[in-house]
Amino acid sequence: MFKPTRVSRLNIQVPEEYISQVTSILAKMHLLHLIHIKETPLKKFEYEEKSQEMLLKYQGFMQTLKEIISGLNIEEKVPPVDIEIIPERQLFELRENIDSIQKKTYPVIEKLKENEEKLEEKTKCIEKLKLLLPSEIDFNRLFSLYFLHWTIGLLPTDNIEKLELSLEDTFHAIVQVSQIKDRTLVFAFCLKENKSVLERALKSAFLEELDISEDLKGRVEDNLNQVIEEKEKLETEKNELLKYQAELRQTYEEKVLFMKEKIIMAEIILKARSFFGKIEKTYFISGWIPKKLFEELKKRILEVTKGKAIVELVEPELEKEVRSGVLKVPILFNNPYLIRPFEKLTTLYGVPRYKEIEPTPFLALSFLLMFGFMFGDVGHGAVLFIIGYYVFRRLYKYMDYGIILMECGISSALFGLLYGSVFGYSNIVPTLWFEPMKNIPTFIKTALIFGIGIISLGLILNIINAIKLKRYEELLSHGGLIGAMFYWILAGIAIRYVVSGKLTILPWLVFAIIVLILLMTLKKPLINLIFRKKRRKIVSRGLGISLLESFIEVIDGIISYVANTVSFIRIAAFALTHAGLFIAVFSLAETMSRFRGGGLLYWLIIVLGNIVIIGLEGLVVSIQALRLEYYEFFSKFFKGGGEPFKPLEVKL
Amino acid sequence: MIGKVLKYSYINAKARAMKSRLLTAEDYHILISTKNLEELLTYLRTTIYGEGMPEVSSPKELTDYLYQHLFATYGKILGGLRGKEKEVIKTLLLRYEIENLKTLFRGIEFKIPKEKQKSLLYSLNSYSTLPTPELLEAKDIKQAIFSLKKTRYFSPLTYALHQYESERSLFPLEISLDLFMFKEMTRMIQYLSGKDKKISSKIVGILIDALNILWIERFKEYYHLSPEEILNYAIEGGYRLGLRKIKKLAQTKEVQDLIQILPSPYDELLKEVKSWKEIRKKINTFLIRELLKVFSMPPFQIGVPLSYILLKELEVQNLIAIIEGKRLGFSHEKIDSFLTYKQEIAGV
Repeated sequence: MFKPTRVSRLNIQVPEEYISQVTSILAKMHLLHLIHIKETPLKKFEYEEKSQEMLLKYQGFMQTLKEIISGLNIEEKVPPVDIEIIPERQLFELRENIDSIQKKTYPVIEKLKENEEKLEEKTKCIEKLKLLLPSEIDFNRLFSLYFLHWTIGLLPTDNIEKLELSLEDTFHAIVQVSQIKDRTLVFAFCLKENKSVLERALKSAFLEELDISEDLKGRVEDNLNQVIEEKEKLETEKNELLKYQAELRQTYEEKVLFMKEKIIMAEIILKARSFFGKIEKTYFISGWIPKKLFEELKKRILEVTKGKAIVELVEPELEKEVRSGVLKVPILFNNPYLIRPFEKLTTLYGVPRYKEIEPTPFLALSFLLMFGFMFGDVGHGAVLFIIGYYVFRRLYKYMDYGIILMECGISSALFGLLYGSVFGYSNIVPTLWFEPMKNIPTFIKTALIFGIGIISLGLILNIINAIKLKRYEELLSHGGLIGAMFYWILAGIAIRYVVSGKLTILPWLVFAIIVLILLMTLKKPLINLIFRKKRRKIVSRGLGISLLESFIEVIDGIISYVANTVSFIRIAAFALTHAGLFIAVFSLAETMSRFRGGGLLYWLIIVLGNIVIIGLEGLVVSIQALRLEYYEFFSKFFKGGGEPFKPLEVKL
Repeated sequence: MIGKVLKYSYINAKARAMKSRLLTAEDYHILISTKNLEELLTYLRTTIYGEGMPEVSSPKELTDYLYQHLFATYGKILGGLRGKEKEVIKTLLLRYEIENLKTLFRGIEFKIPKEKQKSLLYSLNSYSTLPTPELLEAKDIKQAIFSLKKTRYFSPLTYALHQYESERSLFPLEISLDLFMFKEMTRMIQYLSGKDKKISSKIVGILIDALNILWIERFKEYYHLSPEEILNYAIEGGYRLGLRKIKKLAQTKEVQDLIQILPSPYDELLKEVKSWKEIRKKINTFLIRELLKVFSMPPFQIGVPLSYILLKELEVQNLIAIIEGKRLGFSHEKIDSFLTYKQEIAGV
């Protein structure tokens, strides 16, 4: 907690014959952040990877497997694969297995496809004939027309007027049969000698011709019945095929999914090789790894390579590229299970840099506190917890949000106990602290003091970051130690005033404030004086302008401190809104209860009101809490710009 | 009346102010006489186009910037309008979205690399409703059309899909989109009331007339279409040219025959025209005169922003013609002959 997992730079040199085994070990470990060789001093060893040919073969296998999976309707699951994958070795076994399964399954898959195509054709034919039903046409008579040319089709209704006008000089007839959405089914007739004119006109009016097969004989209705019969036969055949498909699925499901995982792993290994360097018969691998895993990894690599590999660990501080900022040390979060979901909220703002304090635990704690403060109600907390639990158990993809919701629910319920509120009722549980609406001034003061605490925490973290990153000059700025002291003096005066109602400013405090403002204003010249290198001027530009600029910066800083602190009043404001909404719901329910069927209406309003409050207030409160975190808290100390740790399979 | 004043006072003032910054005849003269792109850029930076102009190193980059500038101008005009009036101006932007769609279709049909396709699109940003990433990924035209299912273009495209499938030509799809776009424009105008409807019908009607006359030319000369096809591909909603008139025009063989039966004012306007090429220039000149007339009409009406944005559009087209002319090494006189309206705008 508070700092990311310590990672170190791993450099491996492996003889060519062992590269598959070593890559396989690295891929299985899941905790290696690969560095492309061209980003390291060994970039001259970058080479053209020849395993691309093999990768193409594996991609071909994957394509076939996907066709089998979809053809047999196999549900995608991830089976555990705990074997070492060596792409060169597995290639032949996989090819044989896939070929054998393909031979047994493809006839059924193909027949099913064919059957579906025929079914689709019949369905279309039925639709077409249904369209023609109102015309009561006899196909025999239509096909026996000798002097007339005819066409049937769907025409955009808006185009009929233009079409008629365009054919005005030609003998023709356009018969409108029925309307389907924005198109009309039409029969168009003309003399055979005018066929080309009619067809040109119909085409330019966007007629979609209905392909009427000459096989159709007699009335539309009879043809329709016949096609329906044929379709039914095809459906029976389909059911038979589906049964056979189910049998095949049962036989091959496990094997196919297992092979798919093997192929994925092989692809990862082959792709990883493009990150490696090579000279003659030796590969170079470079990456970041959690320090604690190094010994085990080294042991395993030496084991498979019979001691012929060189595995070394370098501390990030000793890396020249890290010191010069060319290479960033990736951040691997290290938080307890319950705090881990909040990492998403942190990375939304930025990824911490390696030596910076990792702010997720502070964010998690303060977020939950603020949420509970604003949304305190035992009942609402319980509802949030239940929703969170459902998400956690059922919606695997959103599990993290489920945990956050459950934690928010607990916080909300605990604050609900302090406020004595259960679904807005204040007579169910005893009030352990006070009811927000009955003591508004105290509530606002508490919010302000809480705000001062959060901002102070931000300032302390900034001081620690400045020291850790050896940016001592920041200590003199309005966000550093001097700024913090200034803020605490003002905050002390404000708290004293809020608590006792007396505004007493002692002379030494005034003196201290002036000295601190002066120090902040003279920051740049002082820094230049203390950390001056040769030939660097103490004041780079005109003294007056520099001082004025610094002074304005300080004033801006002071104003932002006041604004940031006052901003925390919103915690109380939204808590009061929460309570206020309850009053509105109860008043409405009370009024409705006076009408006929009032009892039912009363409870209906109470339930609906609570649902609206949970949905609306819950959302607003989350946004406000996050806003305070990002703007008031993070902005004080957290710069971000770090590199996230991407394990092998994610990075490729 | 008060309602109209409230609705149009801001946008009217804004459009008039922006109109005063349109390029003058002197600007055009200097721009045409510049020796190379660098000189052209130097001068262009002193005009309204200089505000926010990035570093430009090729004619393509400059053209892209000019369109960005045009769309930003559209944004300014749209920002001052609400409701139906805003929707009418927005339909003008459909032309660019449809051009994007056509570009994407051509990209799919002729297997043009995605990056190249992207570089050819107009950057409409928030004004675009197209699912561009899906369209870029589409394997064929059918898939592309089905990715447009939630857009207004789906229906007109399905009308033409079967023709595309049987002929493997993009023409039916493209013309169906064009016809749909003008139908949308005239449909939106019908929602306006009183003078707004009258004036916008006239302006858009002239645009449609111009296109119909030019399309008759193109369909006859290049596509060799029959009169019945030309009529079915004609755009409805013209100012002076109804469908019956278009039918008669489509049946003519020579330019002179066509001009003779044109209704007023086009007969007078085009009486000295000898070739199809001159028609575009003459009609554009007429359009500009009509657009400029709007500024001396009562102020609180949609005509003012509508006319301004069309004038701006013509100005951008002129600038692009100058840039292209320079790129192809045309003489000043030849470039000048492409700019159809600068004299009319000059000094107004």
